This record gives sequence, C-alpha cells and structure tokens, in this order.
Amino acid sequence: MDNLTQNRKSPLNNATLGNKKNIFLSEKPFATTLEIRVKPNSVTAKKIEKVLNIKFPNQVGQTFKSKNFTVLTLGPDWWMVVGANKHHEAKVRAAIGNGFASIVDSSAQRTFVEVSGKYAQVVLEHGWENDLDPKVFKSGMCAQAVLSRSPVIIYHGPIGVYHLYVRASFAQHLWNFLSDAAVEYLKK
Amino acid sequence: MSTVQFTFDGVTYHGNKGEPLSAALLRNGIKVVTESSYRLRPRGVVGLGYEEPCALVQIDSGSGEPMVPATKIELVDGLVVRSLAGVGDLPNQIDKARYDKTFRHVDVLVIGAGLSGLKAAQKAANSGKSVIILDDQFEAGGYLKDLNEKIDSKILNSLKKNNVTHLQRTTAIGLYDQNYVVAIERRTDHLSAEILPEIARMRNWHIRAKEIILATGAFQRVLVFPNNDRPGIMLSHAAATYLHKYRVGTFNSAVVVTVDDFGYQDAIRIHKSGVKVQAIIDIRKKVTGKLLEQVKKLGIEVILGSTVVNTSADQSGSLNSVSIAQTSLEGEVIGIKQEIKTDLLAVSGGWTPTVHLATYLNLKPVWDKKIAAFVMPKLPQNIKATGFSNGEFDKVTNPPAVFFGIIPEGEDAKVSFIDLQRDANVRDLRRAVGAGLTSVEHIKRYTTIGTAHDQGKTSGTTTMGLLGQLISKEPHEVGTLTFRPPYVGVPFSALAGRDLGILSDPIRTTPIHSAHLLANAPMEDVGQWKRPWYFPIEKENMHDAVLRECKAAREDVAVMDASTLGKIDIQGPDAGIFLDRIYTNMFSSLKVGASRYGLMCGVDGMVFDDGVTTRIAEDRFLMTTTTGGAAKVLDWLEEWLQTEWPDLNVYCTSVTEHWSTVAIVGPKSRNLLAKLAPTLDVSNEAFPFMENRYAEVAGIPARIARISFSGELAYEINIEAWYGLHIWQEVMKKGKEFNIAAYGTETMHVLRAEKGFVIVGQETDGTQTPQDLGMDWIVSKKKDFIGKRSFTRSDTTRNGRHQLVGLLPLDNKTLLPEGSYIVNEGDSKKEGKLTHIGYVTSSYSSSALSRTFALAMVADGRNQIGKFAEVPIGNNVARVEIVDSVFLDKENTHRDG
Repeated sequence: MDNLTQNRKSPLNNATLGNKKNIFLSEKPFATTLEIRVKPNSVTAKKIEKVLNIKFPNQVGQTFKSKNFTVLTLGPDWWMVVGANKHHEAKVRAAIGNGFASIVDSSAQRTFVEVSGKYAQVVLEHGWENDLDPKVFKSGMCAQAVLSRSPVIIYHGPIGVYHLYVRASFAQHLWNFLSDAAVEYLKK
Repeated sequence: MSTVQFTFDGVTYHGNKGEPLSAALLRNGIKVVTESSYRLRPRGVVGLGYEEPCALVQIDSGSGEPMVPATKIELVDGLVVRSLAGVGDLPNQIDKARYDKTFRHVDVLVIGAGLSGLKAAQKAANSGKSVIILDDQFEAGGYLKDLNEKIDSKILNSLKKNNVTHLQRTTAIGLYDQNYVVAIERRTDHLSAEILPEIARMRNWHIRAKEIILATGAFQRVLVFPNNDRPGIMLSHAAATYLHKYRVGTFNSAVVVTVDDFGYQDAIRIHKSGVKVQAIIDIRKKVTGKLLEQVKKLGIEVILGSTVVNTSADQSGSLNSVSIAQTSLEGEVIGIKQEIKTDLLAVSGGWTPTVHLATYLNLKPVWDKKIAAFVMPKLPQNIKATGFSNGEFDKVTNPPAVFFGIIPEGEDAKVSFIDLQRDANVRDLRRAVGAGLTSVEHIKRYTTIGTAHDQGKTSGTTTMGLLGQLISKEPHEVGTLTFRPPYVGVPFSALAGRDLGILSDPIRTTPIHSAHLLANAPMEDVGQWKRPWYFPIEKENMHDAVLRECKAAREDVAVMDASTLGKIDIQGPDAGIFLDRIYTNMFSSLKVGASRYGLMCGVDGMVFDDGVTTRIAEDRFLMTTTTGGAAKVLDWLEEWLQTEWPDLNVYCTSVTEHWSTVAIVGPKSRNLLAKLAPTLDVSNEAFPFMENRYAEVAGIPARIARISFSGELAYEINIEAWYGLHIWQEVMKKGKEFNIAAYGTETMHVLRAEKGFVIVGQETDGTQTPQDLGMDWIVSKKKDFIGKRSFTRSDTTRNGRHQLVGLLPLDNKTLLPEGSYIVNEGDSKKEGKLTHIGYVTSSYSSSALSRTFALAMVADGRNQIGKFAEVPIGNNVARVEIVDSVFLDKENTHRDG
C-alpha cells in the first residue's frame, strides 16, 4: 500500500448496515468524480466526449454508462463523470486547449452510499420526495435533491439498487437518517 | 374475538379485542364517560367515529395521548385511559415511540374505503393505474360494515392482486394544491398498549396523486332541544351499531327521534338487537313506503309531526325519559307534551357529507334541499367524489325534513346544546343574533361553536340550520361549511416524523472531527457545522484554555482546522472580470499563484461576505467564503452569471468538502512547515506572504497558502479531504517540539480581534458598508462592482454612521458582554431614556495585551477615538476608552515571523 492509500480516510469509514435480502447500506469509499461544466453540444463538449469516450446526455436526469465511467447529467450544462480522476482531468484539459469548460476534480467532495435490498425503495421513500417508482425513476436515471436536508445526488443503478452521492460533511447525518429509516425493515 | 382487559379511571374492565373503547364502556354500563368542559354536565358516548363531541379520554398507556375520542380507540389488552373534560395533559415523559414520514406518487388516491371507495379503487387498479386507498376506520367497509354487512371479498382480493396500497387506520388530514394529500397512519396502537420499539407508531404519508377520489362518507347530525346532551342520547346510527353490531346490552328500551328514513332503519336494527323501540318520533307529517310498513309490523309506534322537546335524567345524570310534542318545521312547539320513559334516545338529525377536504381547497359546499345537506361543490377536473360524501344516500323513499331542532327561550335555551364539546347552546346563538350577527363565520367566533377538537363535525350544519330557522332564512343563505386542516387532531410527533434529536437538522463535520472529539474539545455550532470551540487540557476552563492557545499562536505555533471555510472553484476566461464585479477590490490583476483578501457587498453596498481568493491558473480561481456563507455565496454567483451576465464565460463549482484545510499559525510555523514539507523552500524570500506553493506535506500532495488571520506568520495547508485527518495528526506529532497547541473558534476570534480583523456576521449584520468598518482601502475607485452605486447614497455617505472602533475597559479586566450598548460618559447615571451611541460586537480577554478589550460599532466612531464612554452592565457601569480597532502589531511586523 502506498503512502496515499494508507493515509486516506473516507467520511463513513467503509460503514455497512443491514442485510442483503431486505435492506443493505454500504459506503463505497474513494469513488473518483470529475465535475464538468461546458456548453452542451459545443466543440469543446465534443472534444471532452471524444477524449473520455463518453456522451453527455442532453436531458437532466439522464445518464451515460461506458466501461470506465458513469456520466450523470446534473444540469443543462453540468455533468458528473463518476470514475474519472485527476489524471483524466489533465487529459481533458490538454484535449480542449483554450476551449471554455470547467473541469473540477470533486472526488473527495462527496462519498457514495449504496442502498440495496428488497426494501431499498421503501426506505428511501421515507425521506426522498420525488417519485421513486421504477416505472418513473427508471434504472439508469439520476436526480439531485435533498434527503433529510442533506444535498444528495441519487443514481438508480440496476433496478432496486441506488447510489447516493452525499456531500462529505453531511455523510454521517445521512447515514444516521438511513440507519433509522431501515430499522423497521431489517427483520421483515 | 378475544377478551381483553383495560383500565378506565383506575377500574379494570373487560372488552372485546379490536372493538371501539366506546362500545366496551357502554357494555360495561358506563354511560357517563366524562363531564362537559364548562358546565360540568354529565356526558356520554354520542357517536361512532371522529364526529364524537363528548366521550374524550386521555390515554396513559404506551406513548400516552391527550384528547382522543373513545370511539376511535381500538381496544387492546392493557389499555389505560381516563376520562377527560375539555383539556388534555401532555404526557410528561419523553415519547420513546418511533414516528416516520413517507412520500408517494400515484395515479389515483382514493380517500375512504367504504363500498363506493373500494369500487373506485378496484376500477382504477383494473385499468392499470397505480392506486392508494386509505381509510380512517379499523377495517374497510364504511357504512355497510357498521350494518354488519360483508364487503364482497372479490373486491378486496382484486385490490391485493393489483398491488394497491390499502391503508386502514389512516386519516387524510389535509388536501393541498396540485392534489397533494397529507395523511396520518396509526400503525401500532391497535397491536399493543405498549410502545413497539422497531415499528413507527404513526406514519405521516405525503401523497401526490394525478387523480383523487373522495369517498369520505358522511356524519349524522344531532338535533337541538332542551337537555339534548344527556348520556343515553346518541346518534341513531351509532346507537344501532353499538347495540346490533357490538352487542351492547346496556339499554332497556329506546325511542328514536328522526327527520329522515335513516331513523327507521336504525329503529329496526335496535329492535333486532333485542331492545324494544317504544316509538319513532318523526317531525315529518307524512311518511310512506316499505320502511314504515316494516316498523309497524315490528310493533313500533310512529308519531308524526312531532319531535323531542325535553328530557329528564336519573341520579347519575343519564337519560330516563323524553318529552315529545307536536312541533312545526320552524321549531315551534304546538302540541301537548307527552312523556315516554326510556334510557336510550336515538337521534337521526340528518346526514352531512364529509366535505372537509374539498373545503381545504377553498371550495364552497352547496346546499341541497332534497337531502337537507351541504354537498360537494363542482370539483376540479382531477378530483371526484362518490358515495355518501357526494350526497348519494340510497334507500330513501321519503325526503328528509329540513329541520334542526327547537329553539327555546329562557332557561331552556341554556341547556339546548348545539356544540356539546364547547357547551355552546341556543342562548349563545340567540345572543349572537341579538348582537346583530348574521354570518355564520361571525357567529362561530362569537359562540365558539365548531372550535373544539371535533371542529364542528356534528354541529356545523346544525348551526346554520338553526340560525336560518331563527332569522327565517335557508341554511345556505347564512353561510356554508368551511373547515381547515388538520381534519383530526394530530400529535406533533407524527408531524415531526423522525426529524427529532440529532436528526432534526444535519450536523456537518470535517474529516478531522474525530480528532477533535478525542481531544475532548467542546463544540461550537457555526451554521450546521460543529467546530471545536477550544481544546482544554485536563480540567482547564475555557478562559484559561483560550489564553494558553492565544499565547501559543503569538509565541510558538498553534494549529486550527479551517476545513469548514466555503470553497468555490471558478473557471473560465472571464473569471477575473467576474470577480472584479463581485468583489469591491480588483482580482483580474492578481498574478497566478497569489492570493488576495476580498470583500463582497450586496447591491445595497452592505458587506455580504469575505474571504481569500487564489489565482490557481490564468483562467481559474479558488474562492473561499465564510463558513456559514458558502451556499449563499454560490447562489449569489450563479444568480449573477445566469441572470445578469450570461455573456461571461465563467462556471462555478462548489469544492468546500473536496479540500481540507489545516492552518498553522505562529512564529514557529515556518520551522514546523519545513519539517512537514522537507522539499519546500520555506524562507521568507522564496515563499512570501499571500503566495501559494505546491509540495508534499507528510507525503501528501498539498497546496500551501501563506495567509494569516491572526497577524502572525501562518500557513494554510490544503489537501484532499481524505487526507485531512492524517495531516492533522502529522502536524500535531511534528509540532510537539515547537510546543504546538490546537486551537478552536474562540482563540481564532481573539487573535483576529487583536488585529482588528472583522468577522462578517459578528461585526456586521447586513447594515455596514466597508467604509463603516474602516476598510475604504479595499473599495476600488477605478472599477465597477456590485454595491458601488450605493456608496453615493445619502445614507451611506452621511456623518454619524456607526463605525468600527476598539474599546478598552479602564480597569483592564471587565469583560464587556457582546451586544452591550454604549452611552456617552456620565450618561448612565441620568434618569430616563439614554442616547446610546453604539454597541459592543466582540469582547475578549487577551493574553498578548494582558487585559480585556472589545470591538464596537460607535456613531461617528473614528472621531471619538481618545474619548471615554460608558457601558452599563446590569446595575454596574464599565468606563471604557474608545481606541483604534487594531490593538496589536500595527506595523505588521509579526507577519513574516
């Protein structure tokens, strides 16, 4: 283990809770993210797509998945590329030259809690105000809102598996909330 | 059905599990449940559900709950209740039960699981729509369930098959715009009298539905006549259901008084339960049809054109006879009184559709004379009504009479009750009319009718009817029903859900928080953040700890977790121009790798936020904001970029939590940094003030900024937040040889105050210009920026504005309370109103100055320097000298170590 890996600590210390059958919460620490803001469909946007081999979906809430990255559309000109890191940041900068875009390594800005199990949707509905019906919030969609007053980006992975990207300083609070909401479903 | 034990007013009784407490009380012969709130008259069970105006109890078992109608408590073993007159007690122990909320979106929400609601839900579900059906009773079936009729199991099964969410014991308490319904589900009280630790006792449902179907049923009304409140006088539907369905055998015989055919149906049910119905007293003059034949066949006498005109009671206060007489529809008694001995009077005063939810949308129910009731008005397209709530009363042959009771005068008026919970009566109504009131809205407030826990469920229409009778108008001419949410009383805990205790608001922490907890640092709340306040060694108090921490920062080295500062990554070719407009001072001229302190104002020219911003690259800046201001500053930047200056090529991204910041402060901080970052040339020449360097610190890539908020030589080490704790620990370890001390927000405040640095939010409250703070030097005269125009307003340029100054208490040791007001010398002894010339904004004990000192805002402050003033503290007066706001190292010699 190198010095960096050895000395880093995630906001929730790799916490897990619950059981895989009913409800399972787990922190997936140290996911890397690049936040990219660029004019949609611009030449610069196309250059970024090319160098990372991704597509920027045009609709907020839509995502794009490649082998290495998951691209979440957070705003009309705002994407979060999960899986991309500082080295990709440098590559993108080199590729766009003087093109206008904002490329930010935000890896430590948030941590990522996976919520899965039979009652994942039900547990989240105790705080998430938007519709989580899988027919509406389909697998592969993302959304941004507050959950228990904490800023959260939610990504619906495989059906019934949710990734919550929560601001690091709110992570423990969100974890406390989710743990409390899960209590009723642990032994069902 | 199993038998369970319960306690009422300290006595143990038996009842059937799952039946309403009211049924069990009646079966145990308890007719007098409580006394009325104001008149202390004996009162018993009147109704069957939430319309119950009298039989309130306090629940003492489980979580405890005040003011619950006995009709809505489902009997469980071990239930402990006591009778309640008017005012309940809040349980005095902390409620250990869970409460939660849930949010759902559906195609169709059906409110009410009587037959019409169930059918509507079935139809919607069969067409493939997502459906929630909720109902506030113990089981589905509504009116028919009370008649002991079974609901077709096919309906319930098809709901189950179609994954319909079917909630019983769930009351829709509010209906809001865009078909937004809030409902309370009671989930455990029927399972156990004890608290169930793992199941939420109540669930607060927030439902958004494309379509809402109101199948909320109807309530029966009381009739008004003297002594109409005696125990033993009940609504006929309730009476018949208690006797017939719940097998309550307490009564010997019954009389039914009615205005409609429902009275006949209920008389038949009472008769079938084995209690002799002596007579049906019907105000209508003519009645025909099957029901009439049926009751005659059963030998029940029918007396037409008459009503009950008085009652009498036995020693306990319960009914023992009724007086009846011929009466006109206007309520005038015209015949001779006749007395019938009976202990049960079943009253069928007509039905009122439950239109509450519709009125929450400000819709006005309309009067339908045919059924003598206010009914649903025209509803919005996506709301429908069905069943009783829509006025669809079936099995009716003879129309009901529009009759609400008799309106006696004198003493009798005082005992003719309209709102039984409020003890409001005909005399009150007469006085209101006598005072000139004609609108029911005024009369409600004058008489208190409809203001009790039941919100006039049985008395609303009756009031309008009687008022109409009094002033010769139809009910709809005096007003209409208006209700407000919540539909029933709801415990605050149910509204709070799990937003209690630590979950009531997020607690934000830095990556270094665990180290602060280990060091036993008391925390200060800064917005939602927890920041260490000071770091006591052993039993040190705050005063001593802060003096020690300050001394370390001024003489050795001290360390602080500055990770909470807001950070915004600003990128784009126009970033410099953008910052020039945002800040009062220039940023486009900043060279790459350098940092500058900036102040931002609102359009009113008042200081809004401040912080140090660093030019990371030609087209990239990293802005820091105050801890509490991060979110509002980002909003501010986005607002200007998106609405005013979309032509600027600039993007902002929050990176507050991506970076962790550890500040090392003090003359020995350079030596410490040299140890931590051996590859870095830390000399003053190689690494000057307000510059940034990249280097590995304790093996971690870092950006080190030479900035100071204390006047001392200082560095801020910025690392990715994952490494925050590691760097803190390394700094503490390597700092030992330099006598390092960790310090918190209090020492930070003292250090900056000694140098006269302001804190936005401490010295400012949104009414200070930079000039007021003595910061003209930061206000550019060359460029334009937000707020600049306001500096030419007469109010910002006038003489006498409060200005930042320092205060020195003359005795060297008085600590002026922050917020104290300041008066001219000699004024505090004066009588009457004093002219206060300013107020204290910050006040501390200083180790470096060996005395107390303060910052203050004083009128025309800079011209007052050298003068003396007074600060009243309780009964004492502190004399102070007004001085410059910089107390220490005015020449900035400490800055370079």
